[in-house]
Amino acid sequence: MSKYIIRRLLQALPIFIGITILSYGLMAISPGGPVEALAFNNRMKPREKEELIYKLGINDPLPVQYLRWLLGDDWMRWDSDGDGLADGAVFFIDLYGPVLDDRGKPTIDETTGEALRQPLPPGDQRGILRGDFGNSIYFKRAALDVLVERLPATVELGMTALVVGVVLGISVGVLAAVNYGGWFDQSSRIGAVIVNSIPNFGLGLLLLLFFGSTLQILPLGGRCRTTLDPTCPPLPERLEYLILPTIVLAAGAVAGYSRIMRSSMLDVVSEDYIRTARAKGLGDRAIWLRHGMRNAFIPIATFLGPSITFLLSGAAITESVFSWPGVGRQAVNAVVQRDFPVVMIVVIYASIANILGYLISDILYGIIDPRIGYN
Amino acid sequence: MNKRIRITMAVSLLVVMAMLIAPAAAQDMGSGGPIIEPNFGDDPTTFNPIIANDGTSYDVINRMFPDFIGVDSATVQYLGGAKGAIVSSWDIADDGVTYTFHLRDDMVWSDGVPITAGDVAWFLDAVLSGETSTPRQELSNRVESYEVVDDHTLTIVFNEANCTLIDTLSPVYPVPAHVYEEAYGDDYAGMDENDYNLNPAVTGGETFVFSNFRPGEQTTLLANSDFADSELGAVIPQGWVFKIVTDQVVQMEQFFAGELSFVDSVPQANRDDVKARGSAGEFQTFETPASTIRFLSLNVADPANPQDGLDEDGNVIDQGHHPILGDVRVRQALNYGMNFDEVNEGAFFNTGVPVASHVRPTDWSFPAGLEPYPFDPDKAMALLDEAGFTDSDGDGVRECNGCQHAEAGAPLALSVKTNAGNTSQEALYTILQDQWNELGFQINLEFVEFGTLVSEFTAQTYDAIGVFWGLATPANPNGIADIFLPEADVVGAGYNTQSYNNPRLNQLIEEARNLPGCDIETRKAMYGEAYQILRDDSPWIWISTGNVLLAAQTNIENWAPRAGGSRWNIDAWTIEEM
Repeated sequence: MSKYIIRRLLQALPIFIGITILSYGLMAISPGGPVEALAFNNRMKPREKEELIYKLGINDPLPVQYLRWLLGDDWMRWDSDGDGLADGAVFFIDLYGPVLDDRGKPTIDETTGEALRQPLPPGDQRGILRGDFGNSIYFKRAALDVLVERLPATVELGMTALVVGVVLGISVGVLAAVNYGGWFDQSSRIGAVIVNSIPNFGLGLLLLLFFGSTLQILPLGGRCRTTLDPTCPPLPERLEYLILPTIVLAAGAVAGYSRIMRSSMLDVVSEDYIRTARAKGLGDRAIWLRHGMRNAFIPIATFLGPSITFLLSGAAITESVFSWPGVGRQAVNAVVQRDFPVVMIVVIYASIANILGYLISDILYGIIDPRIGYN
Repeated sequence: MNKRIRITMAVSLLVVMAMLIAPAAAQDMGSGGPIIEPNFGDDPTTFNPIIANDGTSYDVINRMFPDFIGVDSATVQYLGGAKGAIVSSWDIADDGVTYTFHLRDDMVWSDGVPITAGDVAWFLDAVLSGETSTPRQELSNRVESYEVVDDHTLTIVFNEANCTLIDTLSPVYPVPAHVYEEAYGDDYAGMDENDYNLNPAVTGGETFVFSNFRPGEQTTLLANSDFADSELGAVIPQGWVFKIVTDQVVQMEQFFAGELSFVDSVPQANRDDVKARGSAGEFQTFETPASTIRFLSLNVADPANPQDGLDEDGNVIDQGHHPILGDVRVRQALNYGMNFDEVNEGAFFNTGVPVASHVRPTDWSFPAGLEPYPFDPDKAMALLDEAGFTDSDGDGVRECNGCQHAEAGAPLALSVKTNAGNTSQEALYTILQDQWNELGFQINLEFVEFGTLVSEFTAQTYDAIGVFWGLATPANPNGIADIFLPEADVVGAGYNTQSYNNPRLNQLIEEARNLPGCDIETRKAMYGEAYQILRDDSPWIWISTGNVLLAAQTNIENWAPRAGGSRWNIDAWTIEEM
């Protein structure tokens, strides 16, 4: 098993690198950039804006920007004599930058007719492969910190929604299969179609308005009651804040899992071994739960891994509607702000979660179905 | 008097005294409950006034750091000795560039250390070092030198005399030098990455002091027991919570449910409801002019070949003409063809106010008689005819038939872009598209993601782009007027993206800025002429400002908004249990 896991993780490395190249490229070529987002301010002078562009390095060629992000730039431009200014650089990196005038243009030396240049500071980034995810352009602090401080809220909501979604979805699916063609089967099918047809933001707002505003029995968003306290109270004391976002996130999972479980169960009960079990006189309960359900779980395992990824990466829309302080909401903000380092760290996190999610699915196959081996 | 009567009288007296004392006791510091204000934006990025660059951070900083020069909440003008500001008065030397600021001696930081001129100097040291990421580099361009004369006197020497130097100092804050020295030392370049930015140990001089920051959720401040300017002798609210609510519908529902103390800008969709409920006594409401202005920027130069306004020697560059908008008559026709009443009803819920300039009628430089263009489609069509755009083939779209800059036969087609996702902007330009098409234009309307829109805007490759901009408070007439100078016409970086250049306007703006003696009436006349030129030349179509509706719960006593906003007396707000 461990060999299999290691092999899968090694196979995932090129996928991971590919994801980073694609994501970085897409982000870099998308119109508008962090300077436009940060500097749309009539008090900002052209020179300040140009200086910001140089400082962020977004005027460098795209491969250089990607390399800097991946491997850092302390090896690209360095300071040997410790005077705070670079005195050496690799061949594709400028050692000097222009002296900008008030219009943000290079200043031209009147005698030589050439642009005045000044030494640049040495690179100070180590790159993500050395654990440096860079600083958020918007928040001006470590992008990793921005992600880490949002993770607990996302994990809290994601895990709750996952557990509720899986448990309810499987239960509904089994019951629907057992009552095949009956009223429960029909109504669960209609319910699944309806739930899948309502977008999350619509469902979220409807629930908030009904339960929070009209009935006033559940809170109107947030993670806990607004007080002067520095932290939210422990989870058991604020469960009511989890109810609505969990319903919104779990609704789709319940609908999806119940349909998969139902059809999987119906497939399984027509198998020979189930007929054999019946012939041996086993009761319905034992046939459905002990023999049917276990085998019907295999398709569920296929979807469970990606579901974990989806829920742990943050549900941007649900988190936004409910003012939930999670990763998904921050990712959306970062895209709007063109905060590339934060976008990229969320992409990395989601990629790793995705790779691990599929790995979990594969491992679950083996646990559920003894016929599957890992050689 | 028997014993029972004496006891009864004594008890009654005690009850009466208790009733008298009770209201006074309710005015003790922190007795007024916390104020919960919605934050519709993202987290604050920093609580360090030196590097702050976003409105959310300033919302918090302004509650817990004193201003350098304050603004009078009633007149919205700079004022020595204004509430919550360290400068009590200032003198200007005869040279016009040396300003001596006299500072108050009754303000202290939360650790009890007095706030002094050294604290202002620390701010200036950091900003003028050029090593921080501060967005206040404008100070470096203006301030020649400064000197701490004593703890309560500071002299600042500017590099040239002009009439907007006090405006230049508006982003200056005293910072606790004794703590900043320890936290940051002289590593100004590393200031951004310092953990102290989001966890300041010492604040003060304003209504509240820092308590805690919960990313993605809220920022919390507590009543400042040493606030020197409290209206009632102490800060009454227990604290202030700046709570993130990311959806406007939810924000208003939270307000209706009493979870938010007040809302500083009721969304247009809720205005009528809130006003009606305010009239019925459910809420307190107040209406005041908005500090944003909507405009459509018209590119007057050739968008196929964007160039700067000036070369490196300061000479004007001939940038060619926009084939259609290069003719002022076409720009004026767009103005005359705008039916504001229809726009107001369809896009702004009748809350818009037509404008003829980027100055508000309440600003001191606003000239009497500056009127928006009237809706006059006949005049608009006559101007288009005169400009050589006529509909020769009868398809409803005019073509160039003897026009100034377009090729013969070219249709009167314009691309108009605005930011996607803003429903009022989308509604506005959809209505204008219909109105202008009626005149014979072919308006191609696009809703574009904001970052992309800004890129095109600054790249100067557009025909017309509609955005809105915030106006400074107090109003600085040069703030936006400077945008129309050729110095601001820098492709990719400046905001004269319409490439407008009018020598008379340039002269007026510079003279009004640098007028010896800064006589206000003379300056007002200069700005008035400048605004009239801009209105007539129409490099922008000034569309609308509006009124914002503020609303507060009825259990907030002393909520009394003024022209300068609602928070000027936040220290006196008393929130009772509902």
